[in-house]
Amino acid sequence: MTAVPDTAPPPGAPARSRRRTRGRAGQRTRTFYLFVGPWIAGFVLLTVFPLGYAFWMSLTNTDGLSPNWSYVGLDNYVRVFQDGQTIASLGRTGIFMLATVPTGVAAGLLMAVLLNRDFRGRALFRALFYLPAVVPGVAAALTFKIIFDKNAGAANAVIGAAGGEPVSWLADPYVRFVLILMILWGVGGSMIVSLAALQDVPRELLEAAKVDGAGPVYSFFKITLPLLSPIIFFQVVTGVIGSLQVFVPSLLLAPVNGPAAVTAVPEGNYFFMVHVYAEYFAKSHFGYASALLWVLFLFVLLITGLVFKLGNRAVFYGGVDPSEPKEGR
Amino acid sequence: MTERIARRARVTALYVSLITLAVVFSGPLGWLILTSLKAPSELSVFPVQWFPAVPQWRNYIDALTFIDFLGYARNSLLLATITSVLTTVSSAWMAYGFARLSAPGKKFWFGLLISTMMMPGIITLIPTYLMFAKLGLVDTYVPWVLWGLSGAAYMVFLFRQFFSGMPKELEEAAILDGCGHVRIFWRIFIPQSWPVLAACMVLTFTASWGDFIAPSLLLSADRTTLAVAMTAGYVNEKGFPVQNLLAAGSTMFILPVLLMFLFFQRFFVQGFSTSGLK
Amino acid sequence: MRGTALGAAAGALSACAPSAGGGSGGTTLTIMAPENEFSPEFLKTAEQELGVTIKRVEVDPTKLTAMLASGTAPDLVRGLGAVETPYIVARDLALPLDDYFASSELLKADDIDPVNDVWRYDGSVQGQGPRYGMAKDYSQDAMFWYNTALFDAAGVAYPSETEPVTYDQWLDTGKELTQKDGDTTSVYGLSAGGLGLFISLANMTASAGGSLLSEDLGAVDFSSPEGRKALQWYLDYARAKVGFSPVEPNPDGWDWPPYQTGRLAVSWSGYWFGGAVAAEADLAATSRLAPAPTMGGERLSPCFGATGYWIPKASKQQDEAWQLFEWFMGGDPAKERAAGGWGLPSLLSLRADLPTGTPAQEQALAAVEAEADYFKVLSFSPYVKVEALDAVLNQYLPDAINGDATAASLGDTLNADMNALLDEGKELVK
Repeated sequence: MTAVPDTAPPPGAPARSRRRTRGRAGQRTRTFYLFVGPWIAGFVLLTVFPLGYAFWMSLTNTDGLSPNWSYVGLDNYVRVFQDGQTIASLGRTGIFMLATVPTGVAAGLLMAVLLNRDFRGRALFRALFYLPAVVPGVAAALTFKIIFDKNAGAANAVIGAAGGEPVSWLADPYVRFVLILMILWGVGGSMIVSLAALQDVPRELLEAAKVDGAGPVYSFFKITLPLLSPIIFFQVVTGVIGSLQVFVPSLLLAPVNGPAAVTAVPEGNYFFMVHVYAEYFAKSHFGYASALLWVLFLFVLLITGLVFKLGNRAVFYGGVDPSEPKEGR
Repeated sequence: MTERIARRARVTALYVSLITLAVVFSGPLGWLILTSLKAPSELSVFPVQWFPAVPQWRNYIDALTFIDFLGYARNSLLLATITSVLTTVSSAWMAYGFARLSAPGKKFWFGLLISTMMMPGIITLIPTYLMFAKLGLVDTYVPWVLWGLSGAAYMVFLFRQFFSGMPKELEEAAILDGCGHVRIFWRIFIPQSWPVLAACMVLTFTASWGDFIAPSLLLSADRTTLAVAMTAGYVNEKGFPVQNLLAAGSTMFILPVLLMFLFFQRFFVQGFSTSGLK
Repeated sequence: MRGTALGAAAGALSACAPSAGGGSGGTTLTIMAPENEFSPEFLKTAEQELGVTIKRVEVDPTKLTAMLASGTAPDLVRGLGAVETPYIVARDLALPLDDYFASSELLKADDIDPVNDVWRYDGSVQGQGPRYGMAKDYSQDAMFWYNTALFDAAGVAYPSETEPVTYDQWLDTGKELTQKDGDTTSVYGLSAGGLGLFISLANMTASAGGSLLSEDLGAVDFSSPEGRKALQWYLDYARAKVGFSPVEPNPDGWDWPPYQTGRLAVSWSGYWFGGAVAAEADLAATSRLAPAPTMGGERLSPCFGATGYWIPKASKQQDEAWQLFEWFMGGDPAKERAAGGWGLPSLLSLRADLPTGTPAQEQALAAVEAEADYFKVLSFSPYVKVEALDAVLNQYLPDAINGDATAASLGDTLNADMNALLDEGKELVK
């Protein structure tokens, strides 16, 4: 497939690669590391130390300020499983993921398809759908809190005008829906990625299908969607990873301002990361919060691994399948 | 004749669905703008007051002077530009390796790349500060340059997905012509990737423009970004938020990103796709 | 475009290279303070006045921890004296300031308001021992403001401006003032607990004659008769839905917006609330400040915050930090703050500078003059942050309020969780 000829080393490769010491395999490897090297360097220099430090903290009972901290071995990890809030908040986070990721990806794709056609005012609509993703979180949350206030809010005013009863949106059990709406409001980022992907669908394929009598729906599912599958897969993976870590919107929708908001997050929005942040910020359990994070990491890894397993069957790579390097080529 | 009717029906359906969506999406945005034009006494009135009695355009002037809006905006612009340009270029570069090259250890590194997205940043805040403090880089923009140069996992993954979808004939022909991978990347893959480059620029610029965790950790007040200053700055003597100024500030906060988006959205155009090279 | 942006970036980067000390070889002070207390213009004045360079960073506990851990401690830090002093002293973070105070011309011992005792801690009792900081201004936060217009509209008699009501009378008044239309509340009668649930309950328990914290500050006890009484009152209050609580959230996060728009009749807020009231002519004419309610014990009127500043032991420029502290607390800035009416000055001599332009301001001033005698330090624990205890309360309160929990059963749960937290804290500072 992507055989690299012996005779022509990449001009940008380091000089020593020209010595042809280890033949094709060695050169391929060097080229790979030439491209990926900066990321590895950044990982080693910028990420390893903070992560190692976080792991070390998880073996202590430090609160970050007291001089009398001590090593507690794996106590913090044992505690994760004795903490009633661990499983409850993890379950809530999983449901949140299921509620937001598929709808977010589908909505972004739908909007991208609508906005990929050529018509007047297209740029305006695109901007309008993207803008919510830019509104600062504090302002977005404030706006949603005012709109969804039980008494003086616009949402209940509309419901009331339609003859309905007012809903206490900002308290349990309804506040989770306000949060989901606020998240989906910012779906513009997903739309942009899908929009970019749509540009790579060759137009002549679609035109050929049309000549053969295929309708737009048929073309979409048989041509566009398979070609988009790598990007949909990307959005599902990053959506899963991101939604399992959500916590700032929960804080912003709580009825207390500032960082102390974490002490007043309603149960419905008390996700796993909110729990971590409460342990970390309010209770100063730096060690326990770090242990919770590593447990979250394993949980996300598990789910993401599952998504990758399923995805590998469903994703169609038009060029090369990056996940399966062909041996012996 | 029926063809034309069907066509017209489709166009109408398109506009109807778009306008419905637009109304839903602009609802909260409209409320934000209405809030920015209200007097303080019109904000949480019962029953709800939809429109300001007299639009308070003054709020916008106040929002500009209440905090050093333009000064902070300049900092944000600088930081977002550094971040988006460096991250876009470096992420595309690394993604080419993950998408089109193979080597022992590739699976491991890619797994690690994806894993780094799974580690929430809050617990690494303190060690990150410690590290940059020891290096003397606190209160400088150097950390953003380093982060930019080493790419963003999210964007590397995005580019990798795009590059994987490109036909393999692309580089096969080039390799026969004696082209190396560096040149293939710059001469063939980059020119083919304007839509995703634009998407990456927009997304990284937006993320950096709105981020307040890293700047508030590493920067002092006069070097910090607009997102930080707005969150902490539009408060009264007692530290509680001043809603109408926050709304006016937020409306202006969106503008630069809107302009940038309008500039880059022109690249989301079907046409100069891979077809020509087949 | 790219060229200029990167060029600008390069210029800024070299300009941002770490520079030791200030511009002209002077001292650079780093302060952790919010912009509304140290605005850029104000910083310039301070720099000229004191001949130092001042760098401000946002108030952020995580950043403070990181700065202390990395050996780059700030020189002046904002904090809530009432609930933070024992915590920072027990961790040996704060510099004792007694020697500085002793030789100060601006901050004289007999001029310092007793409220600043919350910034003292001798290792076992808050309110005694060395001074570690000072309030920038303060309020007796258990007092309350009310809007007579809403009392008139509901046909309810005003509370006394001089004699405290009982909490039960207070709640009854709140119920009478609340205006509902089905499930919609157009006027809330009474908002309580908005400044923090734990501190509010601690104050009520003390006002009933008990104490929520044990004498060694190492345990909470909600099962004492006084603790239960306080908890029961809060459950009754929240269940009556006459005001904001975890099950009746306030979208604005504080009492002023609903009070301003005539949707809240009584706000449990101290003198500082008057700073907002004064700006609205209508409200200034109808608003009154009343003494702190009582729960059966001695009359008592504590301060929940006493927000001010302290100097870290790890500061490398303690003398210069003190000069800034002294000027901020006793110089022109203190005078200006007093005139603003957003809190009582922490120096007795500055009371004369409080605003008296409106009837509400005069009435509020008379009310606080009478209330001062009942000030008392409510000790807080060195073993936890108040946020930890508030988190526990918020975890259990919604179900307790919506269900049929009694103060006794809820109190037992709270005791168990809070005392576990306190025990862990003891391990760290023993």
